[in-house]
Amino acid sequence: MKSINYKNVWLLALSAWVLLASCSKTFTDQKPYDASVVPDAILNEADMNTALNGLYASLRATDFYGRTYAVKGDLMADNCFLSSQNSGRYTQFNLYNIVVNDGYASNIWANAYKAIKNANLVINATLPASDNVSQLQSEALAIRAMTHFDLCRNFARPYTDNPAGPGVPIVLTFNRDAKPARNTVKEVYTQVLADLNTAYGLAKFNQGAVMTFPATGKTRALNSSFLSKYAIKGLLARVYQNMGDWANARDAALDVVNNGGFTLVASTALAGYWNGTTPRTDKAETMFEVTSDANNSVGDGTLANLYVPKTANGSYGDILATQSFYNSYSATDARRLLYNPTTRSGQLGIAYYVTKYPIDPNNYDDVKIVRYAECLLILAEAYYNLGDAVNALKYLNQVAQKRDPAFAGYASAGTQVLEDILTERSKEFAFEGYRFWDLFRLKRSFVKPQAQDASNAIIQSIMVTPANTNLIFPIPNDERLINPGITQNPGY
Amino acid sequence: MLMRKLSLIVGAVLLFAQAFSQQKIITGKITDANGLPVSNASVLVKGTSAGTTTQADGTYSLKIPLNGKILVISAVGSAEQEIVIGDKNIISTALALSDKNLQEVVVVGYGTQKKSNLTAAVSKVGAEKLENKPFSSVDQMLQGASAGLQSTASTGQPGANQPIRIRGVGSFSYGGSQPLYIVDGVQINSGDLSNGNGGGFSINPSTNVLATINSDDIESISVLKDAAATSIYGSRGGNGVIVITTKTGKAGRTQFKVDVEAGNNKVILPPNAGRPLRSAEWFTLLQEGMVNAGLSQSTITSTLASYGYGNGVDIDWFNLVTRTGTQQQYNLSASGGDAKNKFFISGGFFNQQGTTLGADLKRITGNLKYTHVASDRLTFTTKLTMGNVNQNSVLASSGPSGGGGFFGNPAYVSLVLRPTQNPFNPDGSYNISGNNGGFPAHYNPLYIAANDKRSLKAFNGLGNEIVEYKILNGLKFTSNLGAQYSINEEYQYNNPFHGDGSGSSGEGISIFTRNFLWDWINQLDYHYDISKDSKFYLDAKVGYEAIKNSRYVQTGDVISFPPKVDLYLSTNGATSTNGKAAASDYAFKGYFSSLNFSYDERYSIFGSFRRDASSRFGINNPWGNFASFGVAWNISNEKFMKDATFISNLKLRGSYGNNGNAEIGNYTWRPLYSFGYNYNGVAGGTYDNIGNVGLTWERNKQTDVGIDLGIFKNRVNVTVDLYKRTTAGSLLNQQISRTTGFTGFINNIGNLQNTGVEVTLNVVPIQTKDFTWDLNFNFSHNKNKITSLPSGDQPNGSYLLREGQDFYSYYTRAWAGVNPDDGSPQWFTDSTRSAKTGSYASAKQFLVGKSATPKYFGSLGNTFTYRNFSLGVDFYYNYGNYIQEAYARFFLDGSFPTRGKYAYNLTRWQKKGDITDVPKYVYGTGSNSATGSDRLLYKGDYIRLRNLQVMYRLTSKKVLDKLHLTAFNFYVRGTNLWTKTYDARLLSDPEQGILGVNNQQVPPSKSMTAGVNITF
Repeated sequence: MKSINYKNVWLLALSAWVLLASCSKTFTDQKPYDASVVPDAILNEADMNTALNGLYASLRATDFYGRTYAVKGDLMADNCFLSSQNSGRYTQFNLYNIVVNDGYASNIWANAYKAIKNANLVINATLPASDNVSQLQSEALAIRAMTHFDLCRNFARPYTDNPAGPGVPIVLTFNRDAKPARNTVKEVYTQVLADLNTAYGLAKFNQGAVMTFPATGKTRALNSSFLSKYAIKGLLARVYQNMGDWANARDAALDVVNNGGFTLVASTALAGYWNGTTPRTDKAETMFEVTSDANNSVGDGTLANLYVPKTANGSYGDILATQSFYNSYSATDARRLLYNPTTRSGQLGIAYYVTKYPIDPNNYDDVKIVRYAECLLILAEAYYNLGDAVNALKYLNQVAQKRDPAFAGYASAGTQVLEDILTERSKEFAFEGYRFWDLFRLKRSFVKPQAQDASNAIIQSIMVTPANTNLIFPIPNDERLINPGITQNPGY
Repeated sequence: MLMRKLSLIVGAVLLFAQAFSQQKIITGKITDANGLPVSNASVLVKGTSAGTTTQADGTYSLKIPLNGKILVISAVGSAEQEIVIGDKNIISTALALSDKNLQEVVVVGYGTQKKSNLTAAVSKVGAEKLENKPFSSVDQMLQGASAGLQSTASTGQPGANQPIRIRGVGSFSYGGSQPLYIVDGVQINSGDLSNGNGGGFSINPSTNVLATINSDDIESISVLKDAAATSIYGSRGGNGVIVITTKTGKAGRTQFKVDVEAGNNKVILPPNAGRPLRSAEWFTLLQEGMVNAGLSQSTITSTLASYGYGNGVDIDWFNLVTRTGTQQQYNLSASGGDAKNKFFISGGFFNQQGTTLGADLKRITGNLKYTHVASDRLTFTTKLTMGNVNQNSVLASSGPSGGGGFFGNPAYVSLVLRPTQNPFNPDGSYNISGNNGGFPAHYNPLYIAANDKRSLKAFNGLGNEIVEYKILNGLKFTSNLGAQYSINEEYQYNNPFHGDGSGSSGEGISIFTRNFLWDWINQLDYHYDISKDSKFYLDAKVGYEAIKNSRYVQTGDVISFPPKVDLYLSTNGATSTNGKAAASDYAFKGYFSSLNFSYDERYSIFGSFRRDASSRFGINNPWGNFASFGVAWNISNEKFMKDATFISNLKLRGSYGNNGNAEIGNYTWRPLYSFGYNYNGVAGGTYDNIGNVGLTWERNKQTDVGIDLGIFKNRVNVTVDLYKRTTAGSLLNQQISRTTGFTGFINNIGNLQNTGVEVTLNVVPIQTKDFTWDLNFNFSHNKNKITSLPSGDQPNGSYLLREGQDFYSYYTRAWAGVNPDDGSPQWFTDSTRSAKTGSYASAKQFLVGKSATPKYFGSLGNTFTYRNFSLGVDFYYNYGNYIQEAYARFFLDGSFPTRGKYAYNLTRWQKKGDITDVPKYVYGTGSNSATGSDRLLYKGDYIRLRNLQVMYRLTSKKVLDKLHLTAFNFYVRGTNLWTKTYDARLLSDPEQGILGVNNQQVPPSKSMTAGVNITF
């Protein structure tokens, strides 16, 4: 019996040990496999490059630069309409019946400020000065500027309308508890210009240059995926153009034209250029684009998937160009090949599909943000506004004749020069999201087509005047519920 | 020397033989209180391995070993008896009916407790409610099984996860409001473990760990509802605990059980308003819509022609994408053993073919339970519960609000596709052309179902090793090491010819998810008889528990497949993308204890305490303390009640306590700079989670007062519970200004309150020799309220979180009906509902006074037994909630005129003076009449005939003996055969999950099955 008692004692001791043996303190300190802590984010140049990549990746979102910005810029203008047979996307843009809880507006708002937050992380990081740090921070500054600029365009009336009107909140540092009111449009543009000018000053490399990080020996090739020095200047020209500050717009665009080294491709190479999915280093056409690849993309949420018809590949083909717009391209215009006139089931008349964007499941389409042609046409418009029609026509024809070698060139005078520039812009940047902004910043009324009949005549349309409240998005409901001090746009 | 050894051996053998010869055989017959024979009663010789079970006629025969002194006789529902053997050769006895309320034992946290001194609100669901049910998982069977438990399906996909709420929504997050599941002591990973759970990409929109468990292997389920029951689970018990105990071996003759059930499933047709239109009706609307839109006659004519007007095609798509599915299950088990070794083994096969093309589930399960009594003090138990599920799903997105709006989802496209589209070519092959009569946008669901794949192969293994050691009399040490190993292999194949894979020449996506969880519990149980006569005693326990789970996910996408549809595995594809591995872990550790004093079966006092830490809480506040206190008073055992003979049981209970909820992301509290935001082929990172280092437990406090009443010899049993749950410092993703770059951060903010009443009634209105009527009724009413939200109103999908309001209060515009003068849609401008507007943009959103939370729900069950026949009729009812149609804009009114339409459109406004809810049908209208307003909220009230069953029980001993059986039952059963709804506008089935959203998932089904249960 005694032995059993000992056994009891041992077992009791064992059970007490097991009961009380608390696991080590680290047991409840489980660390993530895919993240580190914020203070360790940017400790050196290579880290800053990683953070900058994270910033660029945030531009890719569908309801941002990935698709919706560009769609709004065309579908809400005068050259296209939503097919009667569609996937259900962007109907409110086609019908001009955007309401206060619009999902696209809400997503754009959130995605833009996410990008700004990511930019601020890079901009506000303090690393010892070097050319690399200078370059990386310049790109972040340029993105912050571009994002504020596009936000302000989408959620506020144009600068040319009323600079003192409500713009969007400017965010330069992270503050979890901030509930900012709207800055004025002028304040936003002032910040945008300051950021872009600082960025240009900090930029050390043009497209095609290769940076080296001394600590790791790793390199970074500045291809068209990145905002290199002259792409920043191109953005600056665009901002001045939207402000109607033509002298500065001219200077910025001229700097790009004279010093950037960019070129337009031959007309025979244009279709191939649009079909390409590899970022460029040759300074041909693309100054900056948001790129995707097989592993990092927004999947089906791309421009290509929306525009290119299903018969080509499993996609929507929802938005069709009007016949009159298609016919604005001459038979010898290389850009005419970027459309596919055919039939679409459930759609009366010829369907003019937009095939500018390649569907390539291995390498999802890249969204062009700054192109050399834009700098040339901004330059033309700036010269026109500064009273120099000769130079205006010179740069206008550089684009027009490159695309259509058979074209004798514009030789107009007076206000027709501006009309020709706008026509050329609409043909050149079609379905890249430019047309709407040209009409809006110039406060023009236009007829927005909505449906066509069997003879391709527009049978449903609405007249859009500059007073239409749907021209700008509502400040999202989910923002206003949390941040009641932020004022809503009229009409919502 | 050798001789001596030999003689010793011989002597020993002789001695043994002698001992053997002295064994005697005892026979007898065991009867119940009414003198009827009790079959399967266990007859054991105490302290030995000898034992048997009684035959169908109650008789037994047992060899008694030399050291056998006492027989222990027990049977289900009867009080255990011990009889001294002495000189007797025949031992027959009548077992007293165990007083259900006194003797019944219920499983509670970390042990069992006598129901009589239970101070907590616990509902027990016995095996009889769980066996041979035509449902793929036990959570579906819990619908209506316990008062206070809401279980509602959001999809008819076999194997889908079924959300459960116990006593309302107690936490702000959807996942956090789920109860904790315990299986054989282990805090398992429950719910949907497939990748993408929570809204991300998932091949199978809904999977369920519980679908890998065969409900036939479950002995009982305890639903722990109040704090006295759940607080011992501390950090995770805040929203109730469901304790599942699997079957184990019973000593006695080995008993075999065979259950076979087979039948079929049919889809529940949508209500009349939700019937998809056929061709003639559809063309009428199209034509009328174009006229109303002011289109020219030539445009109308050409448009009609392009849709095949007059060519006679008239397709019932809903009928084509649904089918009669087969339903089978086979369950076999063997159970037996003696006083030293007990075992239970079982195997099961379950097959449920869904009623929508491409949805099905097959399950194979196996179980092994073995208990070895090594000595009076030491017992080992091994439990293995394994299940393998093969599930095929239709395309939809995952998560609670996952939508089915995909071109490849047959349930959804059966509405989208026009009745004028022919699924077949003239030669009988599938029509996959892109022209108007074909499939330009939405795919041919028949081709997709035939050629695409989206499969889940899930394995879930649960294992326990339990050691019990009785250290002293009354003091027991138990160590339970449990593990759960779950694997989900998901695979999706999109064929290269038609559908989502056509753009990439075929696509194969594989996702492998593994979860390994271990849970080690070490506890001491102490029973001390204070008064030495079992009148006044205490039960105490103290223990330590540690839990760790590691999750691992591997993904791989491959495109460019060979031009075949049978070689679907991604090894055949040309280009691999996105091959990645990811992982995520969590850990808990805690100390727990409880103490229960019981005096004279009259007074019980209970207290529990737990201290928990979790990796899911901030480094500054990982620990939480949770305590509860409960009392019970069995009034019926008081002397002054002696004369009130009609009252057989009267007990008052009360409890108060607190607990927490830890169902948040594993790393949500951490401020994170995360990777995977790559660009230009180079790694990228971003600050993507604000975190909260001070994050701690939400404080869920609950008060419960209950009464258990049994009258007329327990012919009438009533249990009523009143409760109040408050959750303070809730885990809320506190929304912040989007201008920060974030939508919110996790915080302990906001208070919720649930108050409610639960009534359970068991009545035997008629009990005669031949006929019995059993009636079960339960009723649950819960009122939910957000009592504090210091951070202000917060959007929450279709709902708005606001102080003073129900959690699921719809925030939308108020529909003001159709203007009888011109048929235009109207809304109220604001919450005063005083002015109408025809402009959607001018109508303000507000809380329209409707909620997705039911006001009450419950079940009514009847069992009528006449001799060998019984008839079961069980209803489930639900009242007071509203469900919303998330996809109505496509199928109501003219905004998407080229899609299929609901029959409800036929009641459209046509001429001045028409009073209707459906506006003038205008082709391509931009009026938003079918978008975001309470026009699209429907009464979710319904009564459903959940179960209808006729059973024949063979009781003739003569026949049973001839067949060498101990029991034989045959039954026919129908489930969901009838549903009554209360909104004529209703477009879909009213049962649409906790969130009350019809997201175009798989529609529900009804089944007819027949089965036999054989025991021998």
